[in-house]
Amino acid sequence: MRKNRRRHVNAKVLSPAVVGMSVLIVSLTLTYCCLDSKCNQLGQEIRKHEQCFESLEDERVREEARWNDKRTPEKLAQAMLRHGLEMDYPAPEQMVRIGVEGEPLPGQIALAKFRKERSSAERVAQKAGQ
Amino acid sequence: MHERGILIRAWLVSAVFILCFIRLGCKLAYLQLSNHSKVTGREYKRTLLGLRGSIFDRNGDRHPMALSLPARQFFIDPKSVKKEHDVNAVSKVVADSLGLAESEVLAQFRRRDSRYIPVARSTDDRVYETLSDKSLVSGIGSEEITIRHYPQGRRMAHVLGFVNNMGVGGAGIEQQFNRYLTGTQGMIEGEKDAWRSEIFSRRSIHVPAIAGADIYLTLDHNIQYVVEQALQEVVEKFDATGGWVIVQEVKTGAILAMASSPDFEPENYTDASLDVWRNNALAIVYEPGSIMKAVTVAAVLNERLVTPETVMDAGEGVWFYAGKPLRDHVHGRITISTALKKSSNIVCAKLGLMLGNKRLEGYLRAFNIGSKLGIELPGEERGILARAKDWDRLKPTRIPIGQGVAVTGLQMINAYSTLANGGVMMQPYVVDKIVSSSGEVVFKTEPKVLGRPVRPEVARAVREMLIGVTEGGGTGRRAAVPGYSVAGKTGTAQKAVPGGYSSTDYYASFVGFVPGSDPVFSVLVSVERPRPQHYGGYVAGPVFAKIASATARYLEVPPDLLSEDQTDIAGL
Repeated sequence: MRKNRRRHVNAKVLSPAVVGMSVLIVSLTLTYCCLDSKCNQLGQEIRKHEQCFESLEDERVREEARWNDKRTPEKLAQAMLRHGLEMDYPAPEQMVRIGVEGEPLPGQIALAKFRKERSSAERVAQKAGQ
Repeated sequence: MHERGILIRAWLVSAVFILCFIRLGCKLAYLQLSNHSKVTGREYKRTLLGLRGSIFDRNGDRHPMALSLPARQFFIDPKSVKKEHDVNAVSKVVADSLGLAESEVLAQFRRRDSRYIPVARSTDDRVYETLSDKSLVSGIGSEEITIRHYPQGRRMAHVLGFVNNMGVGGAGIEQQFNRYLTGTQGMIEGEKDAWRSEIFSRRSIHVPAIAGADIYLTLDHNIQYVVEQALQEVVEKFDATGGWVIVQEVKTGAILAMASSPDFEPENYTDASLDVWRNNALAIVYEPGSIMKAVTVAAVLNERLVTPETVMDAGEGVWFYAGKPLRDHVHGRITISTALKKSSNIVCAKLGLMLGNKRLEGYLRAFNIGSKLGIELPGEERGILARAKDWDRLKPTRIPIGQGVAVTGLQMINAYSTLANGGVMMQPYVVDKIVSSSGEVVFKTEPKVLGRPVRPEVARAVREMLIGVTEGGGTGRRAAVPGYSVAGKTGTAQKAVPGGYSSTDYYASFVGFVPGSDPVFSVLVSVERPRPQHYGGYVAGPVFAKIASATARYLEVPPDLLSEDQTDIAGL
């Protein structure tokens, strides 16, 4: 006669505390891995930006140097000469002195007119001589 | 007994195992906790270059005269050329990129004695990109360096100096202020990945590099340009061996320009010899000749021994003293003022005797002859001025005319600036300020008074007498500047040679200041061994005029010399 025996199951049911702890550990591990990966990714980006900044800064310095090379007095003079411009600082007789108020100093306008007339007269005399 | 033996052996074996495990544990802890990246070959280390500070002229940071640029030093490693690469093809790419001769590069690639053969430096990133393309080239590497660049080439070479291959200043400002200019290196330490890139999150040390301080000079590159051009022209025109020019602001002592010929290119300083590196304006000691006479006249006026109107006998062209003749032009009886205008040797020699040895030496030393002025440039000489007690009988008649005493150009211009500045001697200087990379002013030069060798009214009297030198009848007419009164003095000195003086070699000089009525700046021009002409007024005078004219207009100095009709119109 067959006995109605209860089947014996060998598996044990884990206690909720152990299960909770395990889930927590796994979750923390996964979170840690995700964050670590994200940090590494951001780190690489920061490093790339650092390199880019360094390279741009170097390029700026070099570009500034190239620009300075072009602005030396002789290069400017040569550049102007290429366009038919030969410039010099004004001669004393070409200057009209202005006071602090922005008005010409006394006699300066009369002096300038005199110089202008004289230089025109000299030019006429020169042409006549030629 | 047998069992006891087994027990002992078991214990011994266990102890050995335990010790081994402890040792392994310690090693594991060391590797994991202390230096594991180094041990595992994952250590990342990078040095950050601290750029050397820049040098600017007086116009500020718009015009750098010297600056450092990030660059790459390319080197050839012949043994690391890949098999799939043809050396000829690689040499061609390298030569084209670096602007070198292909045969030269190929010869380097064929060398087998070294794995590090420096070939060229480049600041161009495109060159680096081309030569880093491993599919195209191999056997060439590069390292980060900084190079010193001088945007204006030879301009101010003797003042700026140069930087040697070790990055250390070797002359001029670069040498004198090396500790300020030198940047501080930074570093990054951490770990690298399999591709040898740094893992940012494992960075353990990051010390940023600090750039060196910037130096702002008192020199102006525009004035310097005019000065160097004029000096070059006169040296070529008169086939001279060299020359020097200094422009100084009289009220502060600041040097506005300083040039020396021959010059050199600071970036290729090794192409020039040691003699060429020398800044002749402050390192050559020479007998000044007649430009010393103004100092003599200032001394006798200050002692109230004479007045500008005092008449003295200039003789008939030769004057004997202590059995030696002193030659001169025939002037007859002339005033002190005319003696200076005509540059009379005999009158000045007699003035020296009037002063006496002790007072004459005292005045020369008061004008800083025979001692350094303390300018912030290396190589300044003190000149030669013997003590009065050691002078022979002839000395007090020769020193007043600039013989038997040796000076530097800097000493002479400073003496004239003193006369121009109402008898107040300022210390010459070339550095205005030093600014750190963080913008902090770490050093600022304040004009410093060195002394007051003569009274203001004496300085004014000498100044007026010196104006006569560049007027009609004076020896310095060629130094006249249209629109401005010029006070100055010519000097023609025989070059001292062992046992006497050369009959063929001279120093031609002119020193003066503009405008004579209210001086703003002074200029000294000295030309060494000009030929065939050697007179100061003829050789150096026109150079002075050219420089003074351009400088006065550039500095916007109001003209003080109008013709009579112009004066009437201007109501002055």
